Order: sequence, then C-alpha cells, then structure tokens
Amino acid sequence: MTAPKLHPAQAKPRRRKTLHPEDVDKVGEALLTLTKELWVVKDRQMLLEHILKRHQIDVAAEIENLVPDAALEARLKIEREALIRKLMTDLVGES
Amino acid sequence: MKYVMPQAGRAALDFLASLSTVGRDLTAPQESALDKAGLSEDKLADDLGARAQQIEGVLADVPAWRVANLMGEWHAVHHGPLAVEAFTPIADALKPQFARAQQGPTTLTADPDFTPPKYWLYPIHRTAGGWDAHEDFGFIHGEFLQRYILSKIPRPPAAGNAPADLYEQRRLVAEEAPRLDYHDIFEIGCSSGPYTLKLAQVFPQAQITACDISHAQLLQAQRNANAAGLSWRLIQADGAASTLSDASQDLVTSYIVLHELPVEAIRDIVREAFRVLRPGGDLLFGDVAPYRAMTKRAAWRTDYLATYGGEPFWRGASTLDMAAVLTEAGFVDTKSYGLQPGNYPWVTYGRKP
Repeated sequence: MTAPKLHPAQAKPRRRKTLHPEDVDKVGEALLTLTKELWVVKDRQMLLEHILKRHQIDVAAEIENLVPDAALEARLKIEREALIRKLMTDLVGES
Repeated sequence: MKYVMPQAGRAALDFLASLSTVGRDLTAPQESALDKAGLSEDKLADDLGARAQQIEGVLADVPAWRVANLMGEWHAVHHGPLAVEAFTPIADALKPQFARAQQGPTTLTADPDFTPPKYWLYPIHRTAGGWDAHEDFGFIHGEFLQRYILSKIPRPPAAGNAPADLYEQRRLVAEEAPRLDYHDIFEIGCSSGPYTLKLAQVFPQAQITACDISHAQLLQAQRNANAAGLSWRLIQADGAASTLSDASQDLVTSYIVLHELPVEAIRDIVREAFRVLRPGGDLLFGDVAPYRAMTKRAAWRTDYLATYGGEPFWRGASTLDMAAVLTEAGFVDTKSYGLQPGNYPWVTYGRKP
C-alpha cells in the first residue's frame, strides 16, 4: 500500500480588475506613506534594542514567543488598523 | 495542541485580519454611490448578469470600489502563503505532538488510489493549492485561517455581516435535526472537523463517520477528535461515492460544503445520502443562504465576492432550489429556512420515507 498523496488545486482563479491607470499617483503616495511608517517603527525598534543591550537585557527570544495579552492586543489592533487606514485614505484619494 | 506562533507570522496574520476589518469602511461610499445613481431594489435587474452590469458600471468610477478590489486581491493572493510562512518555523516542534495526537480512538482510512473530481482542482477561497496546499494544511487552515483569522473579522454579507462564533453556528445547525437518538451519523466534507465536534456534542451516543477528499484535512480532524477523546470513523472519500453500505445511517449531514460544489455534484451527494440512509433517516444541510433570501444588492455583492474570492460554484448552489432537489431524490417533508438574522446558517432538511 502506497502512502496517501495530496491533490493540490491547479486551476488559475479569476482575478478582479483593481486600479485604473490614473490611480498610479495615489499608489506612489501610499507607498511613501508606508515606507515612512515602516521606518518610524524600525528606528524605534533599533533604539529600543540598543538601550536594552546597554542594560544587558536580551529580549529577542522573548519577543519571538510572546503571546500578547488582551490589553496589548487591543493596543496593537488600534495601531495596525490606523496604519491600514492611512494607506487606504491615500489610495482612495479625494473623491 | 500547544504552540506559539512566532512574532512575524502572528503579526502577518493579524495584519490580514485587520485588512478585512478596515476594508469594510469602503462599503459605505459604494452604497452611497449606488443610492445616488438611483439603483434601488425595484430598479435592479432580476438577471444576475444584467444586475452586475448596472452596479459595477456605477462603481467603476468610485475610488473606494477600486481600492476595495485591490485589498481583496492582496488578501486573496497572500493569505495562503502567509499562513504557511507562519507555520514553517514551528513545523518541526509540532511533529511529535501531531504523531501523539494521531494515536487514539478515532480511525482514519486513507485511499492512496483516490482520484479527486475535477472541481477539486480549483483553488477554493483563492488559497494557493486549495485544501491540499501543504501536507499540514489541515492544521494550517483549521488553526490559523479559521480559528485565528476568521474569528477576528466581520463575516461577509452571506454570513450575516457581523462578527460571529463560527463554531456556535455549527452547533445551531446540528440542533435543527429532529431527533437526538441517532445511532449512526455520516458527515460529508468534514475538513478538520469543526462541525463534527459539534455533532459529537449534540449527539453524544452516536457513532460518527465523516468523509473528506483531503487527507491533510482528515489528519487534523483525527487529531482534534483524539484530543477530545472521541471515536470517529474518518474516511478519505468523495461524499458522492462514500463507500458506506446501503441503509446504514440515521442522519446524513454537512456544513458549508454544498456551495463549494457544482450543481451536479450536489445532486450526486443528495442521491448518495438517500442511498446510505435507513428508512426514516434524516438529511440535514447547513450552508449559505440562497440569493432569493437576500436583497438584490446583497445578492450581487455575495455573487461578486464569490466569483473573485475563489468560490466558482457558489452562484449555481445559491440559485438551486434545494428542497426540490431533495424531493426529486425521494426525500419527503423537505424544507429550507434561515436560522439567524441574515438567514445564516441556512438549513435544508428532508426525510427518507
């Protein structure tokens, strides 16, 4: 008896038409907004790790396995949704 | 099963959930544009294709619509790979737990020679590779995509719009069965077993047999059953050709399976259910509401999301008169109805005379 085998899907699904050519300026704006947001976070993370190392605290493993509690998850959710809204606002533009 | 999703994977899945939640803000500008264009219920065409042209013709000029499509596409393309990425760092650590969880009272009979039907090759939900995307996709889908992400986001229009307890909805359907004393229950398309677990709670005395095409999903169902100390018979089979004996079951049931199937496959499954049921046995399906139970706009949006969300058979299933299909197969006392606001879950019932 041979081992059970997988039967992965193979067909190509239909895709939506999304943005129009005239949306490209807004995509560029959104990308820059995203890059700025990402840099603010990376800057803060590097400062934090630098300060912690100065105090001889290694947090990398703890971060990797931390399950946010309800209060932290609520704060993360607010920040995450705000970030997405910023991008979405740029992409939609002024109507 | 004990595990912690590493930070990058967890944050990526949280992002996917928030993308769906925040993206709902883009619905109001679309509805407003349709109102301004005068597309009220009485002005919308009965024909789905003509109605789509009316609505999408207006929305093409609405930026919020185009951005909603962009976000929908990103989600559709990326959710499967991101879930696999979240799993990969913990895969080795989970292997011993998987092996232990497969030991127990629930049996799994694989069919190494199984040939899936053609519709199976379509990647349902736009998940790259579909249900068999990865050898551990039963765990990845059941734990990450279903339990972790879907529980955090508002449901689509076809599933009532609001956040909901997906598992509680399954229990509600099981409780619609007219009897509690079934001896043998057969579930079609059990996936990793979320509905099967509810069947076991509602009918604790019953012997449950459940089938699925995906061996990867059945493995996770076996782990879930053993973890709960349950004795199921899991078989790798198509629900339309179950391998069960004639007149061997008291209840045949499924939950949100039918709308993933072509109409002919649904008819085949109903005929197969009739064959395996004992006289007096019940057939009970829980699924999405048919389009006739929705407003025209809600039906259009559901149809659009299905078309581009990797649900190519939804329209056929949602425009099918299921009670009539059951009657044609020989069932009696057939009925179809919605359970909660939004008519989700939608129940179809019939009895074998």
